[in-house]
Amino acid sequence: MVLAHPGHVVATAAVGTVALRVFLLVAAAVLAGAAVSSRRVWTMPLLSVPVLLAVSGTSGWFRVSVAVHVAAGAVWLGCVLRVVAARRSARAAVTARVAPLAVTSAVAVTLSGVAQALADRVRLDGIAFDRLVLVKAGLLVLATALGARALGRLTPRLLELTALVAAGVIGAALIAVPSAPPAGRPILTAYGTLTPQRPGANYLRADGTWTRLELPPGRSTVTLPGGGRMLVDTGNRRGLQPDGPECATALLVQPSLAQCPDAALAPEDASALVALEAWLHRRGVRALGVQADASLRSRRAAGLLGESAARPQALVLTGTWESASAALEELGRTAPPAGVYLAPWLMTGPILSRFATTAPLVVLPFDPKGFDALRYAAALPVGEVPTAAGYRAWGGVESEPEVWATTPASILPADLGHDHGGDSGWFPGGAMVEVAALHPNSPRDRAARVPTHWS
Amino acid sequence: MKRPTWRALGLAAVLTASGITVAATQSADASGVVTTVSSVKASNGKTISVTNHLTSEAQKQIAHKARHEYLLVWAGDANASDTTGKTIQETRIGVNPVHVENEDTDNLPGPDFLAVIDATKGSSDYGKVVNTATVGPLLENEPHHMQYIFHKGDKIFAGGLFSDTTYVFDASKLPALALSGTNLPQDTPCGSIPDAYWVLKDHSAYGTYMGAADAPGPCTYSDGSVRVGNGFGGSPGEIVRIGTDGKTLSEMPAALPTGEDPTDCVDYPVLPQATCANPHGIQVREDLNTLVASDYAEPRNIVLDPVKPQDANIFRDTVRTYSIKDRNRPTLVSVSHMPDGPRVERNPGHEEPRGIMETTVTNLPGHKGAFAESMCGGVIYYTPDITSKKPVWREVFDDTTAAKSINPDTVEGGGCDGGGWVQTSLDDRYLYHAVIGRGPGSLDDYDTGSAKMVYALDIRKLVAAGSGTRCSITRISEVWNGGSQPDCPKLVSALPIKDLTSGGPHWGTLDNFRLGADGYYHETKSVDRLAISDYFVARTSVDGDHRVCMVNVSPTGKLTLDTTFRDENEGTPCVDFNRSTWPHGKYGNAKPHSELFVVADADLK
Repeated sequence: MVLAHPGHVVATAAVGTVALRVFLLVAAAVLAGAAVSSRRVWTMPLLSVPVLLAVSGTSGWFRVSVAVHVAAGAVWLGCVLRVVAARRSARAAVTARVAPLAVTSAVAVTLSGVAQALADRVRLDGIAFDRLVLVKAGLLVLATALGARALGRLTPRLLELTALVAAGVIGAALIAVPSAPPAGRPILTAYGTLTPQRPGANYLRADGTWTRLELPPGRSTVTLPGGGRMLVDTGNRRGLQPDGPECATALLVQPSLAQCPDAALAPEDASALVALEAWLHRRGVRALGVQADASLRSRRAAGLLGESAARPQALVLTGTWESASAALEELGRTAPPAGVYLAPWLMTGPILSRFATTAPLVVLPFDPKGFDALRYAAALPVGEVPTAAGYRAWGGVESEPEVWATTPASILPADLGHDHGGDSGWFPGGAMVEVAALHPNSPRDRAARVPTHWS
Repeated sequence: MKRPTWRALGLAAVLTASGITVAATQSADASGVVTTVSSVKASNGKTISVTNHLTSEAQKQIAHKARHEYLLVWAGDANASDTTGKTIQETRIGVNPVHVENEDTDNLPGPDFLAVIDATKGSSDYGKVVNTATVGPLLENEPHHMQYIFHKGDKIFAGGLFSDTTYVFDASKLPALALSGTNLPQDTPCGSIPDAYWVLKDHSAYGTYMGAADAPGPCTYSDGSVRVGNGFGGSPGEIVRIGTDGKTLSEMPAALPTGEDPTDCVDYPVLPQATCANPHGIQVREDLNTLVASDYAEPRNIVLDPVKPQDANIFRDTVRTYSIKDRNRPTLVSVSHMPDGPRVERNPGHEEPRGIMETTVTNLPGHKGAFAESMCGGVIYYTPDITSKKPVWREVFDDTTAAKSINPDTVEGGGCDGGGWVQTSLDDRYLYHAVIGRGPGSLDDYDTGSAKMVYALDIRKLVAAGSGTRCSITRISEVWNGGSQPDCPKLVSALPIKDLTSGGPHWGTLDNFRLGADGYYHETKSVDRLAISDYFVARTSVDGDHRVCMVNVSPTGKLTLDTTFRDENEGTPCVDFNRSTWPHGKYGNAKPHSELFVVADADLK
């Protein structure tokens, strides 16, 4: 699922939820299968219950394959249970009656399972999921053989009962094993977020940090920083490769994004930077420093701002998150006298709080406290921090550019339990206030009207 | 189908529809809340408003023209922003469906508000929230402090820490409130992070703005002087005078025109002229034309490392006095560094002078002294004369003495005990102090914690000694036993506040009103009760101690919890701001930060 404007939160997969889902799936399959194996036509629609449960969250051919697999598995399981439930004296007759249905459904299970395994490139030396699939397949062959033997002649009671019970267990397992999440869409869980879940470059956000991962096509397992494991399925289509966490935050809300944000300078951002330069000029700033890197957006932005002064009174950062962070790290506890200004795309709370000792301001072509921005922030999964790129990909409303001052905000050390900050929202643990609108005659441009004496 | 069956079905449908209609009507009547709105146009052209949500109790009080005393509490909406994303993973799954419902309401960003609680002794509505006056459209202001005490004719000045906004309320028509004005970030370009207020006799107010100008660089104040700041939430802060309509009357620098010692005064980013000027607490003696403000910390850098600050000197040790002969020009007279005490702390951030959060003045003519307290250091300081150009400050009490009266096993009493509100009684007999305290294990595995408490000191001898005071905590034994000099304050009462969270009491206020025989309220210097807010920001699960309690004060200064001041939903002492529903809706838990006893002007003589 994606976060579509106006956005609704994607459900996360907690362990309890999965267990409940599996239980419901098995129960539905048992009941539906038992009914269908009575060979009454009107019972066929009952199969829709386990099928709908199983296909939830899937799409395309994968959905078709799962539907066939689960429906056939339910029928096969129902046949087995019908035989098990029959009186011993009638068991042979019941077995003979359901045999055609059982064999047909077993073949369907086999074929659909093989097709899925081929599509997912299940390998003998693959992940645990792959090995489980192979075990399933082996047991299915065994169960089929036992069933065929049961059809052929009456076997000793113990062997017969064992075969029937084994078949029942295998049938339940066929239906109950959870599948990997649908390929090509971000995975959102309480333990981490993986974007975009495609072959190639992916970004994992867990424990407040972004980590770049290179994932193979098909199914694999990602180990989370906290020690847990996440089953992923990147599918076969590479799609847009995120070139950094900023791009990942945009892909999170819009997996069909055509290009990463740093591939182009958006007109609104360009206007904001030009307006910022003019505002600084009105404040008496004549020497402007510009931080830039090789990304296309940064080169265009730096071109608009002109040559970087050797001894800047103010510094404007236009690079990617990585290069801008490096520049802020280098500044440390110093800053030019007129301040450090972040380009709009650098608006993300972790940058603001990590480099708070440089007192960064940020120029934005939208209102981070506006209703639309708050809706975007509220639509994000818990633990995700809003970003300008994500907001734009989400379709957020833009407005006149303004300069925003930022600061982490608290009054007491956190261990006294009186912290005024939180760790979510546009600026986790911090505050933002609008300093000035960037139009020359704006009544809110009071900061620029204050006479300045730069030394 | 047979006709009688159709008839029966039709009758059933009609009855069902009627039932639903009646139920809906009854539901609307049951809430009974009436809303009224008061708006002003702010300096940026936007409309700011306060919406009263008057309960049926409030409406009856208005209709009967009953004279009531109220406790106003400035509270912020608590929502998902107050829980870390990481700790949500550890959140216990609520089995109780009501618990789950409460969580859902807390995920909605709701408005901040002034809660109007009936504080009339003997009233059947005692302890009830009769109105919640919500402010809008700004959300997540992070309501902080108001003024310390209310007098007839005053407005109420309430600050938003995150929004950098001061709201000015009119309380003349309590239990309803109106908005007189607002002061936005753009109205105080030379300062940020408003903290506390002192209202003058002309009903204008001084406010301490802890942080620097929003935009880094030079800023020109009302007197034409210039100071260089390092940006929003940085240094130096300022003193702002705000009118009753919310307009800025003056902005005056808290920093010296020359720099201060850069080793003592650490600023990030580094300033060309170092300063410790981050005023937090403020109190005024108009008769002495003197304003006292305590410097607490550079706000931006408090959270660099909560337990071990990168530099302990981020938490300031200075108190400043200002001449207010010209009310629009509070002019810096003195900058005093509080002296270090006899304790030697493992963490330098816990030394006695670190983080002078609050200050309080004496009140009676002839008394010129003032007190200050350190949040990180956990001690009380005193100077006998705030009009001196070089006031002498001495440590006169260590919180450890009060902590050990509650828990004799305290290992580290005063250091980092989170001392906050400090206030002289209006007759200069007692000094009250709220201490957040620490839960066991807060600092390390061996930390026994420190008492969460409100305590009272007898300061009569100290104040009476005037400039001849000798009290000074200089020996380690005095940390435990109290000062040895005869004029040192004596602990009268220490009231433990039971709080299983890591929060505790931070703020308080005195009740300076007494119902007279004439049926009107009168101001009094004999305080017999005070209110405190027990504040905690939920970090795990949904439990948090957001309580406002009433404390009785006996004539001898003994403090006891007023157990008749009960929560209207739970029936337990103190008003709990953790609740699902307010008069303004199902917005869930709220964070009560500061409080004030107020009586409507017409009921006050």
